[in-house]
Amino acid sequence: MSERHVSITLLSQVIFFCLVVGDIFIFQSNSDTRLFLLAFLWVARSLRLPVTYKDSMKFALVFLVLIVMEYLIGQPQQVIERTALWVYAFLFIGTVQNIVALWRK
Amino acid sequence: MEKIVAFIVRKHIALVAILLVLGAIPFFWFKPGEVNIGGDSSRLYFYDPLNYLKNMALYSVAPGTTGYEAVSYFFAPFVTLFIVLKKIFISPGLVTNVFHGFMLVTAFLFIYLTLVELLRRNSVNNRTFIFFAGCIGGLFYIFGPPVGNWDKAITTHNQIFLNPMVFFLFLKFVITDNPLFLILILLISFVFSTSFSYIAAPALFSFYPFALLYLWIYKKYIVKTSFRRKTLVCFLLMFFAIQAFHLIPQLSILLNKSSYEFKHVFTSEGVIYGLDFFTASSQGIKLSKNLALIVQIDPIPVFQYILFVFPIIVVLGLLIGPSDGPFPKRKLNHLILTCIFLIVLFFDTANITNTGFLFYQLLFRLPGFAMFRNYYGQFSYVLTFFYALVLGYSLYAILGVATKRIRILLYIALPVILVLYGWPFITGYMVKLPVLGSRDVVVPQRVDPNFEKTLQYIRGIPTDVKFLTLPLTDFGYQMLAGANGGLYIGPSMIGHLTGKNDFMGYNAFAPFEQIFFDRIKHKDYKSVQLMLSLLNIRYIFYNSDSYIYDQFPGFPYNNVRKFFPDQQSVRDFITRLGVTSKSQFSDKYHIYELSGPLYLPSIYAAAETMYWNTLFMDSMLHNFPVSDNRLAIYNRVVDVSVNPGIDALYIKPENNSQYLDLFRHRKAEKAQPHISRSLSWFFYPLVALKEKNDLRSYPFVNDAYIDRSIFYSDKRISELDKWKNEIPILGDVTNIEKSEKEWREPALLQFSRFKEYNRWEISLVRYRRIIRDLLTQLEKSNASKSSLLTVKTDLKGVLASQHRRLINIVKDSNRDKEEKPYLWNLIDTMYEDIGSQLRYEFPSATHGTYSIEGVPENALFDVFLEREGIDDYTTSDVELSYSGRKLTPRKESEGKLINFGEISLSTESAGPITLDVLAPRNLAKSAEWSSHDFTGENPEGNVTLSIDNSVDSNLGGMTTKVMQWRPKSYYLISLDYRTSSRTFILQVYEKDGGADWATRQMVNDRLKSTEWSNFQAIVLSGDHAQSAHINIFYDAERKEVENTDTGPKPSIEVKNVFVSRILNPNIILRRKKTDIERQKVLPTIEFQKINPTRYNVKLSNVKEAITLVLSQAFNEKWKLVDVRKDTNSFRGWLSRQAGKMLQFVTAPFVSPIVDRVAEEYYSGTIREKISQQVFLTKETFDTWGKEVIADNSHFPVNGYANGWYVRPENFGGRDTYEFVIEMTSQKLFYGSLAISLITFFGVLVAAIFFIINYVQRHRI
Repeated sequence: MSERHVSITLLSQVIFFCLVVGDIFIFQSNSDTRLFLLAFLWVARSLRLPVTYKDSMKFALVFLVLIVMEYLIGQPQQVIERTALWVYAFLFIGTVQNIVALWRK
Repeated sequence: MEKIVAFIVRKHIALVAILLVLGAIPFFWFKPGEVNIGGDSSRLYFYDPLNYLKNMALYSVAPGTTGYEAVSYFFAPFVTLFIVLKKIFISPGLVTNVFHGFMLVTAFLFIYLTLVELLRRNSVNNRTFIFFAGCIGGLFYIFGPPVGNWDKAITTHNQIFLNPMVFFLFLKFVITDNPLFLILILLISFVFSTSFSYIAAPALFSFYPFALLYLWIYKKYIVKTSFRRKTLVCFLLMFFAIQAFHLIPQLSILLNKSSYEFKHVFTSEGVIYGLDFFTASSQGIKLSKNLALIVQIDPIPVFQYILFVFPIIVVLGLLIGPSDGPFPKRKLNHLILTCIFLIVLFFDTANITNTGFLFYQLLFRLPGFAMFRNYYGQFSYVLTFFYALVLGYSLYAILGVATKRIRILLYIALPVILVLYGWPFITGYMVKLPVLGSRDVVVPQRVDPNFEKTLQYIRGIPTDVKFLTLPLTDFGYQMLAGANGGLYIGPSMIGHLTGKNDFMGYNAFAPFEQIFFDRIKHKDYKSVQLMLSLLNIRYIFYNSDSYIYDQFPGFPYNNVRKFFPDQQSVRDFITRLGVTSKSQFSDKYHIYELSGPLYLPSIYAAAETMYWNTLFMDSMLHNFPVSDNRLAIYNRVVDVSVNPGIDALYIKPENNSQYLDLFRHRKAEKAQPHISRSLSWFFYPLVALKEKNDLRSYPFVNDAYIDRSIFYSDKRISELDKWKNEIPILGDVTNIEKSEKEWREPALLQFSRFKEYNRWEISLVRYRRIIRDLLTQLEKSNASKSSLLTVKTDLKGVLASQHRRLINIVKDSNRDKEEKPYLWNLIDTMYEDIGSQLRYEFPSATHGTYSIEGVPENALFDVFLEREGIDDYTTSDVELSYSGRKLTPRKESEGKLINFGEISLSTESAGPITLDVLAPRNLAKSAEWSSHDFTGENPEGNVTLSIDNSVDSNLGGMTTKVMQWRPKSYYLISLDYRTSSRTFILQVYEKDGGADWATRQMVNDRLKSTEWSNFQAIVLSGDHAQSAHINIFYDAERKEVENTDTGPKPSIEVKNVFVSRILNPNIILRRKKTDIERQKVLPTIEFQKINPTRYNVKLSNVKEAITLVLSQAFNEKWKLVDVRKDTNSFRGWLSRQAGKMLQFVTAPFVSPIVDRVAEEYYSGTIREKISQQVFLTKETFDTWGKEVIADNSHFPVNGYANGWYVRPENFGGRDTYEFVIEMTSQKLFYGSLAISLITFFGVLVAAIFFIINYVQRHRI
């Protein structure tokens, strides 16, 4: 994997992280379209970039920890639920990616 | 340390120790002798399994209230298990503890074994890691998140241990293909058939589809073999055969289109009920809490967060371990389990994306899916099961890569966390929580030995009688204090453990509950006696313990306490009922008897048959005293041509006066608009077009059209609410009404006008247009006057609430000081215009119309008017007319009734009767207004209320009390008013006479008119209302809106206040008695109850046709069977052969019947033999294939019971008949039980064979 690929992958992760955080904290409405679109783009990255299921699982882990932190600092329930939706989405995507990876081998 | 752990693991020391500790935990929950046997469905089988089996599990007639049909056969094997346990352990407390210990041990053990089996097969064995992962999975399953439910689970839901047990056995079968495991599943399913029955359907269908899906995938992709189809088909057939004894009777009920179960499962009624429940309950379920293992309650207890480490482990475990590692099967299995876990998580949460929620709602269209309406409770056990498995896998993965230090940390920390979390459960704190609504009363109790003696006494009563338990509760619970201070709260112990039907609750008297308590309230003990008599109640069990009443200030006595505020009032009631004391056990338990003619045996021939076109109880009891209680009263459904022997005919005309339309509510759809498209959105015109077309698509005005119009009008307001600060204001509109006539919707290509939508005024115009169209369509429609009145009354309420909402939206916006008054003015004038369009003719309150329906034959009828309904008037104040003819009251009026002469009615046309009140009384004639602000009366008698502007609060206004306010009465309230361009509120309040002195608001209307206007309202007072007040005050919420600081003072003038009770008396028509009243010759009846589903009856000296009554809940399955006559059909022949065969097979098990007369009633004309409770007699199958008689003249009588009009020709003209009254659903049970028992013993033999074979092969 070239250094350029690594950089792009890292950059895409940072961008996605920002987008998801923005989706959780900035948008007030709970939009399926936004979630499905972002999730689709997340999966579509793997067509061009060397990403694995581990990226999804890492994101799931980060946002899972965020849920408890949000509960502890008293964030609005809507924000916590949105975070949980992303955990669920990343877990699901990660699991399917992993199965596909196993299948291919 | 790790070596020590490895040694302990190798020798199974730790596992055995854990199992011993778990098994011992329940023994510390209760003190010796204590049990927890209450709850909605109770666990009385822990206490007395034998009697529970005899009275509850073996018959299709419930031992409660009137003996309705209830299939509880599935309890039979399960309760039999407890009979065995009780034989071994003797004490109910010990049985309870042993079984609870077994549940805990089994639940843990099979999760452990499953994880060990799965992990061991797909990876290099590290026994310590596997052991630890298995243990943590098992401990998590029993001490983890569902621990909050365990106080119930430990008592009623066997799925907690059955799910892991059956899953493990299936898994073993999947791996080994050994049929022994399927055979074991069959045997377990038989013993615990309760968990495989109709009532356990939610638990079954929430777990097994996912479990079997996983096992199928496991077999196909991990084990990589396929199932033997023959084995599976054979297993399925055997499963249905072994469960036949409850599935077949239940299926016959389920597939019966008139049954409740059919409606619940297969009709849209069930779907709607399920969806409503689901939508309401889903609001509180949060995905975040399910993911982070936090219970779904608020506020969240701090200790809840300690389980958070487990989801972290789950995700870390998925992260660790490369997919290209040496054990891809283990990883694949881990991922498959995770997938199933995520799917179950979706079903347990429902709120996963809007699309997911919609999909879930769609699933409710599937037949039976409504069982998941309370989905969270049902899927949470399944979720925990898969959570435990995924956790075990993840933990194993982490242990494989963790350093030694981290491993030791995990070995110590994880069990400690789980034990800490489960500590309230381990210590038994959770099973000792105070009972709902009590003053710290706990459940565990030692059953009072004196109550045991009472039960023994009741069991010894030799006749078929019913009990009334006092004090009653709202929900039919038995309340029984334990000898140690605990409490039993659950179903009737008398019913379940003695077999005597028991009435314990307010609802038990359905459909007479209202009238029953009404008669108690009126101290009409004769009527109460007659009702008890007709309900076959002979004994009263009275528990005078003050503990069970005083410790429960609310639940479960909320309703009952209105009639019986304390134990003393219950004692008074018993004293006045004229019952005799029969027996007493200690100073708490008393048994009273309704003796002599007050008691009516469960089978009798009616001395008098009556017909009522309505439920008889509400009018007859206190108006028409009867001399002989042996009544058969037909209600509505009877076909007089089939039963010509009706002695008395009563018709109760129904009041259909127009003012009642004000109280009929439409079933409005309460959908809330979802606002997502801004008014400034470029494509918003498409939204407007869609709405317009949608409303146009309704071919005529119906409820759906009205609901849709209201929905869109709500949507306009919601749009304004959402963008109240952003939507621009034109500022030059003077009147919405005028603009509405001028403004046209932009056409689709008029792009330049699209922005017009984004205006406050245009939104109001569009709102006004929707309301105008709706009102215009309503006026044009051919709806009846009464339904139009109902709709307009409903609309008036909707519009008033929308008006308030719009005013508040403007108030809450950040518009400037000039814009707000401008908008308020537009809104107010718009609603004034709407009000004038909505105006309708107020119905007359002095004219009543009574329609006559259900006249069964042409006859002359006496017209009676109930005096109670007009007791503050004289007969000259009211006028009754029929077909334009004035009816005059007669002097010889009977007691509580006023006779208005006779009228002739025919079956084809009858009525109506009209009632006119000639001089309505004004109850507010001498009313005095009291107020701080009120300035007094002027010479014309007008009352003026003037508000001082300097007072800046919601002012009290002026109030007057209405004299002689009565419960359950209609009142007309009318007054004239004039205001100073300010808005006043008129409210009418009433106060309850009950203990809580509840206040209820009945009217809340705006008064604003600078000209003299009239206000009118009709209200219905509450069931316990005692007084009412009229209150008029300035609407201080509009102080800002109306700018009272600078404008004129708010003042209102009021005159001509008129409050009058609208007369609504009962009118009863009675067929005129013939001159010659023939005395009936009733036969001699001899009967014996064999069991709750069978009575042997002998009638002798039969001279004429009779109406035979069985005082059990009406059911078409109750049949009269002539055992001497064969049914002439192939089916009958087949049935007879099956009966003979079963009679032969069961011959060694039959019980003898004591054939002795226990008691005689009505001078020996009714003889009752000693009542039995025998499951198998030598005659059990003698009705199979025999002729059913008088089936087409089988009707409900007395509001609930079975009545047969039996003619002598039904028995070939003989004067002595012998027959059996039988509940036919019981036959189905006998047949299907035979199938199940044969299968069970067959499977048992097969199991022994396989085990011997296995032992021999493995040389164990």
